[in-house]
Amino acid sequence: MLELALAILALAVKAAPIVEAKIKAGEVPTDEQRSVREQYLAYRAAMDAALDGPEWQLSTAAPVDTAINGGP
Amino acid sequence: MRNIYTFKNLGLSLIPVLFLLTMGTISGCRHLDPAGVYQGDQVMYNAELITPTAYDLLHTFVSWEQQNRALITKWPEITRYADFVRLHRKEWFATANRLHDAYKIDPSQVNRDALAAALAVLQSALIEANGYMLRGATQFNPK
Repeated sequence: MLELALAILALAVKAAPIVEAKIKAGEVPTDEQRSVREQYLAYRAAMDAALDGPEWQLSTAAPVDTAINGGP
Repeated sequence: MRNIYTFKNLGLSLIPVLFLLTMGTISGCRHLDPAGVYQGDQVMYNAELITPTAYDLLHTFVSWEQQNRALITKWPEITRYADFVRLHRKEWFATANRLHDAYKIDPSQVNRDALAAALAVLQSALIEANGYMLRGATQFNPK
């Protein structure tokens, strides 16, 4: 499993210059735009249920500060 | 002590890399091919890129915090911030979605500014959450 983790990390690092080159070239090709749109539509379709999982439940019943330092 | 870098938490080690790649893409002044689905509308493209990305990363953050709560008691601010995200999640995403739809119908400057403000809130939360995950990942030092 460690090997798999390292392999994935290596791929991500390897991809960085390619992504950077695309950013510098200032191009968003049509297939990438289509992919962004598809991911957005999938997000919207799943949104309501996705925000109600147990991981979204507060850690405590105590009130949470509504203004945390550095928070938006 | 358990190692925080279990396979279950593998995604955490990749978050900073993925985050930087994504944010680099988001913040870059990339021109859209006008033949694409956005027809050159950079505002709509940014909105539809940032919102799901923010959801994915904030979801990763609260899930990671929940799974590792017992290990990160040294940093109570992480759990506090995770709860802050949990408390505001629906408001933040509903606002971003509503303003996205408003801008789509009427791409006026007012709607563009309102959408930009909603996205800025998500980006701010995303950066904060990423910082906490980085801290948890780099400062945890199992013996």
